[in-house]
Amino acid sequence: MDFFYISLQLISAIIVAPLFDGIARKLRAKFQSRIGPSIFQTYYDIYKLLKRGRTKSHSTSYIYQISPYVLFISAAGMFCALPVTYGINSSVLSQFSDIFVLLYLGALFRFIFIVAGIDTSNPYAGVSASREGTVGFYTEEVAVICLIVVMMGAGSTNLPFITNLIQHGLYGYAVPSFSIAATAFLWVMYVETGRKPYDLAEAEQELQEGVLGEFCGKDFALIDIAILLKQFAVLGFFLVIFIPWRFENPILSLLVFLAEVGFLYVMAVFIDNFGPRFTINKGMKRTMLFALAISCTSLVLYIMGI
Amino acid sequence: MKCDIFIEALGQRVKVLEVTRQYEDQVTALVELNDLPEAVRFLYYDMGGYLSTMIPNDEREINKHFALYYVLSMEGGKMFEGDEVAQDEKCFVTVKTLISPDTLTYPSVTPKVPACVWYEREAYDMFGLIAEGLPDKRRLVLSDDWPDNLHPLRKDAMDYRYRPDMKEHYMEPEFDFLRPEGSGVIDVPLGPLHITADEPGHFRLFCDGDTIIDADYRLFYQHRGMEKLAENRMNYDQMGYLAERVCGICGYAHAIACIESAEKAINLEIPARAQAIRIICSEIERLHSHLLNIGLACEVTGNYNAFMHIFRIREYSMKLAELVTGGRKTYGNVVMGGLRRDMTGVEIKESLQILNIIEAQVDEVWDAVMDDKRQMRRWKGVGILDKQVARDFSAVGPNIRGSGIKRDTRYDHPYDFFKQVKFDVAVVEGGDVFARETVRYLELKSSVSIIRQCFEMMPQTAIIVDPKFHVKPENYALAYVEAPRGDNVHWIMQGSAQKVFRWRCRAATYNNWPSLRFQFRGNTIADAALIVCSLDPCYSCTERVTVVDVKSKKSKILTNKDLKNFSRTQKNSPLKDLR
Repeated sequence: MDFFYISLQLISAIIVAPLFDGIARKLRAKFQSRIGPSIFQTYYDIYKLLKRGRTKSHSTSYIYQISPYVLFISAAGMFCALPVTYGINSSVLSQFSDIFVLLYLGALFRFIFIVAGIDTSNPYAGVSASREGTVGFYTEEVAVICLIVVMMGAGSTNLPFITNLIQHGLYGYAVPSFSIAATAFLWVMYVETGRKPYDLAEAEQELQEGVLGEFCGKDFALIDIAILLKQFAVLGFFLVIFIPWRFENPILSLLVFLAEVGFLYVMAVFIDNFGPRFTINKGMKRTMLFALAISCTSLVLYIMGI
Repeated sequence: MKCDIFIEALGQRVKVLEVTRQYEDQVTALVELNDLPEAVRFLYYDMGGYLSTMIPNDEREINKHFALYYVLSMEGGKMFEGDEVAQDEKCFVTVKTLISPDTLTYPSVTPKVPACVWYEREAYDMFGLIAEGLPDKRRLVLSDDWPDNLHPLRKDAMDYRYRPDMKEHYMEPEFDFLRPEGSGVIDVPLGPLHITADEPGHFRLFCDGDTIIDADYRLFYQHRGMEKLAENRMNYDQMGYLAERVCGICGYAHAIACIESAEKAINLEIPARAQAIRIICSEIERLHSHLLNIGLACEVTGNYNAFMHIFRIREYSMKLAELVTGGRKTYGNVVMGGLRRDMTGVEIKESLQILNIIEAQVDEVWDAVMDDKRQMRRWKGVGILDKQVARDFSAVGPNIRGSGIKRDTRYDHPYDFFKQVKFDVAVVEGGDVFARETVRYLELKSSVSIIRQCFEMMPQTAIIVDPKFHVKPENYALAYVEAPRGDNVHWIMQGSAQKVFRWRCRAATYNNWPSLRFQFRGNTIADAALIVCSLDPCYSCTERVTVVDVKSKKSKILTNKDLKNFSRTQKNSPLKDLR
């Protein structure tokens, strides 16, 4: 039964994610004084891309060919590792639902993205890959510091266990270090979604879409879905730790979870729609230092015991 | 008379063989071949000139020589306060020299005046005139697989229907870029098909990590051969329509410049109302071109929100163009002697309302962009054009005004209605992207005010005089228009039978390209697209030839009838038997 629900969790995410993307696009269009596409546009895009064939440059190797699948699998793995439809009672799945599993799957996603970029030998994809790596340097340590605070505070790295603890009020926002860590963690997870102003790796004008520019047709559709899933997974990562609303009924908790993630996803339009993209050596560095400072504050508070 | 002081000074420096006057502010001085570099350098640096254009010409059937015309706009160096020629002394001095067809060589001016570099490279491509001492002798205009000894603009060069054989894609020779020495330099090609620039131009960036240390570029992938097309084939009314197709945005400026150079050559004065409407149209072009560029400068940094709002305003300028010319683009309106379409009182009233809307909304959006600190950080200090570099390379338009040099044809050489209109030249110090965009914003404001003044002062006269003229062969004249990107300079030498002997069209961007390299240096790849954009480049303006794609070895000449028939019915493709 658990496996039925976990596959339901994944499939429903794949099905509704384009809808939220469509809503975000519509909302963005309203801010830009446009009518904008239909809210189902992302479905149409993916459907159209799935019908198209592939072309690849002759300088690529098998890494380029398998990368869309690996990207999709690692993003799907990340999403499945979120304890939404299963809880602490599910003895099989809950042992896989772990902070480290999520972190490493995220790292795998990034690694494949970088390797695929370098493999194409397109200079822009190469620059894009190196930027993706640099973004990783900036985000990962902030995320890890926040998670250390949570892990130590809760005494476990197991996500269902932490969720359970927080939902029953045994640990949570009453602890200052936890609430401060929440701020930095949300920030970093937003950066991880790769939306403006942090979309350095996929920068359309500067890098001609970077790594993504080398993919087309089915591969590109698959990567599109993988990126949407990853965005949902990283936002969900924040939600399951810091705002866990889990119910006994798996369907109900799945619906509530998707609504929460979708809400965050659409509301991010208020950040990504306004202003230009950051540059890697100026804007990115400066803003991520803020996030780092916040996370360090929370670590210091934890060490002080509050 | 104007220009006399410059000719006098030049006469003391080098031997002037002959002085001819084309128009009240245009004088040509013939000098000896060996005096050419010194004459141009003296006028450029010592007397305060800027290179407007250079025209190589095949005059073998007139005087058995090739000729070079270096046109200098005498307006002062403008490097500091007061470094400027008095307003009523500003004029154009042309230095002319004759080259013997036996030697085909002339001493290069580029080592003394860097601004000549592109012109002298083009002179070799088009006429086979060799500049001795030119530091950069690579091809500029012709494609890399063009046959070696074929110089298309020579009068006897080739049959109009002749097309050189195309090479297979992989057989095409590599263009050799000026690559800086040193290890760890990475080549990053921006183009030839840059996804977002939508126009072909190959910028090779040489990077150390993320920093650009040098850049080189290859353009002219779409040379359309308009100058050749015009020669001896088109009459003057057709010329205007050809000229406006040079550019998609400043087409009207090209049409005016081209027609006015013909009008000047026969000393034709057009009615004041036509003058005013010509100014209005070229200012409308400035409105929509500057709105486009400010929008794009936001878009390339990823600020789509500002871009979309600016484009909403741009829509009003298209509406304005519709009221003035009848079409959303300002095309097909200029003819010899005036204009084809007049405006009614109702249209003028409506236009004034639209101007109010544009003015209010431009301010709103600009304030919002200014308030966005992140946007300002992307613009400030990026792509700096040094004042001295701008001076050396004769940059034009917002590009040079953003470097603090007060250079504007409307102010230096007022033409048409600009003698009566009052406006401020927008000059901003700094030379970075921010300065150039600020210049554009200030010009938006001044354009609105110029259009208003024109509407107010426009007299009720006819809009066209019957151009009963008889052109004298070998007469030539220069006309200039401040287009949105800088001054467009057209030069026409008249031939017999009311046709053009030689048409030289110099689009604004042509003068801005050579200095772009200096703007790239020291910036990051992330800013490269922004720097190119802030120049407001126009690829197709600079390039004037059509590429004819011949895939199979077979060829077929289509008659006008075939082609028209096919376009109407879309059946019986005349190219069917070629495939």
